[in-house]
Amino acid sequence: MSRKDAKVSLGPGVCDGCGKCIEACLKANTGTGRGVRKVVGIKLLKHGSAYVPVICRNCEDAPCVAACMSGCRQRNGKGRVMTDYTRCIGCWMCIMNCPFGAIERVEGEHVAVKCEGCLDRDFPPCAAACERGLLDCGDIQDLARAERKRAAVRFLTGEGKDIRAK
Amino acid sequence: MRYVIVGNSYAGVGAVEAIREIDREGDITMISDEPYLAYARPLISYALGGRIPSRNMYYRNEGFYRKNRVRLFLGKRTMAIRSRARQVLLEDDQVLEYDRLLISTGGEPFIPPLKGLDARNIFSFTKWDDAKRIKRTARDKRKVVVYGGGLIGLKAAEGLNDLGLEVTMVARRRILAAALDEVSGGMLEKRLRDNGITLRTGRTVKEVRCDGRGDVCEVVLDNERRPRCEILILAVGTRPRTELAKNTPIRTNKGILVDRRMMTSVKDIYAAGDVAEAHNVLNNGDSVIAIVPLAYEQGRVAGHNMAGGHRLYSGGMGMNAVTVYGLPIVTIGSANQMDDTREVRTFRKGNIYRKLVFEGNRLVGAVLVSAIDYAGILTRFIRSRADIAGIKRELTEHVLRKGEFGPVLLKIGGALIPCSSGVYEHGIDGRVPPEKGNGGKALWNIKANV
Repeated sequence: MSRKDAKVSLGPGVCDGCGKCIEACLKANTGTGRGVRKVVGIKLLKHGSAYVPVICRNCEDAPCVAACMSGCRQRNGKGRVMTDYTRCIGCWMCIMNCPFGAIERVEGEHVAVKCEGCLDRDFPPCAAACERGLLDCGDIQDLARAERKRAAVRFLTGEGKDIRAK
Repeated sequence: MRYVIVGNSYAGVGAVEAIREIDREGDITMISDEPYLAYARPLISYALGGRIPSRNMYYRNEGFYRKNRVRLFLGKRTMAIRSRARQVLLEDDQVLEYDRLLISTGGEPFIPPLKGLDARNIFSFTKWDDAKRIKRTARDKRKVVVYGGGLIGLKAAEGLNDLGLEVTMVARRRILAAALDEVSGGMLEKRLRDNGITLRTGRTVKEVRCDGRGDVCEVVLDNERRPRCEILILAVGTRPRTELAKNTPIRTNKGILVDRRMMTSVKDIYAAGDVAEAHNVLNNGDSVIAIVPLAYEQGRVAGHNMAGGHRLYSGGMGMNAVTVYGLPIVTIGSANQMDDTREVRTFRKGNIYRKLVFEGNRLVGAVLVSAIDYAGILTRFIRSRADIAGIKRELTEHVLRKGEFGPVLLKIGGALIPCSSGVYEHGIDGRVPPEKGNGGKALWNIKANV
């Protein structure tokens, strides 16, 4: 499977908020000629000791694509929502419409930034940096199959309490 | 299958993309009376002010038409629809036959009945050509009056101010009165004044006067003040461009009436975008809501149905995001109409302002100024009419007071916490865990490829 079909995905598990994904994302995407100084594709929202990683999910009927005035954000043939940052004018319509809050406003530059999947790399740095294996990259069907298998093994062998139960 | 789409903007483009997801073979024809490929209409003020190069005005490039094999008629008016013969008639008597027709003709400026409108240098401001004409005219001019305090007037004023003209805005009520409450409206007006725009709010124009050469020279306000101007922009409103529905059985009210499939009262004729009067989730009726996201969405729904799929429009609502001289403002849903059944919570600190409007266990409106991140999460709550009883405390304590969305996201659980295995299989189904929320009723249903 080519890298172009593989998507960064959030798998089951509990995020401990280590922030390594953000570090890796910043390192990989800062000053990479996208016309944006600072790019953060992932955001970590905190509440008490719990964390919610927020990342673009490449929605099928993507509200951000519908809302995009300039047409800079479009879905490509591979089911990925991609942005042409040279054409983003920072109208914030996408931010107003993303149900996941996955788009960030870069102040001063009038650009609304989200995860673009790091297609120029073999493996997304955020997923490589995630020690808990929450962030992964691959074909969605494969990832789902692997997860089903893990769940079945857990169920049949009774091994490893389901961390999701808590 | 032969598809004919009248109009080449957001709704039309959405329809083409949707049709091609289902039907790779059919013939698609698009007709526009403007000479351009689809361009970003709301950005004409940027073109006017010179903020973006004209190549960035295009919403879709030639590749879009080529890839989707769209036969494009530009600069050609559509004169009539013969619904029984399934034909549309173009201005040069050319006849196009269709199996499915989409009317996405958008809106047109409403021109108020004022005395003196035959003077020169009076413009409306809804098309790229308007912006170009105004820019040419403005070269040797200094003063301009913009009549209308809506989004179009605001944008025109901003663009002309960018060009260095002295701009006076005349508005019947406040600026953006329909969308913004008094606090956020006041913040906006201050921003405009600070940047050199003169405001005459609560005023109407009675008459337009011209000089001896026939050029506009001043407007007369209802308080007899007479701001001078060399250019007058009329931006008092738009209305759906429904003329094609005339002399056909297509039912209209303010706009063309459509059902949830975006089909008009005539089978196989659809309407979408600013011309359509479609389902409004907030009043459970039909409304013309002329904004980009809904136009594109309606176009997509229409396109899928035209190509033989079955999809229903989930319904829209008013919302807008504007940035005025660096001050971002987002207003969602019904944030301004007050009555006793509504509970309003506000928070203000310096330039930051937030307002949430509740109606029982529903969120029906929101305004965010300055700190607008994550606004889309509120949009979903409002648009889906979700029962938010389970997260109301988080909304008022964390979102309203601190702008923190973490607690809300954590509580709506499965939707966004990565520990839901449902994420893989069904996309995000947005359920509130029964013990925490509203009995597991879906908050939203976005099909997502995680």
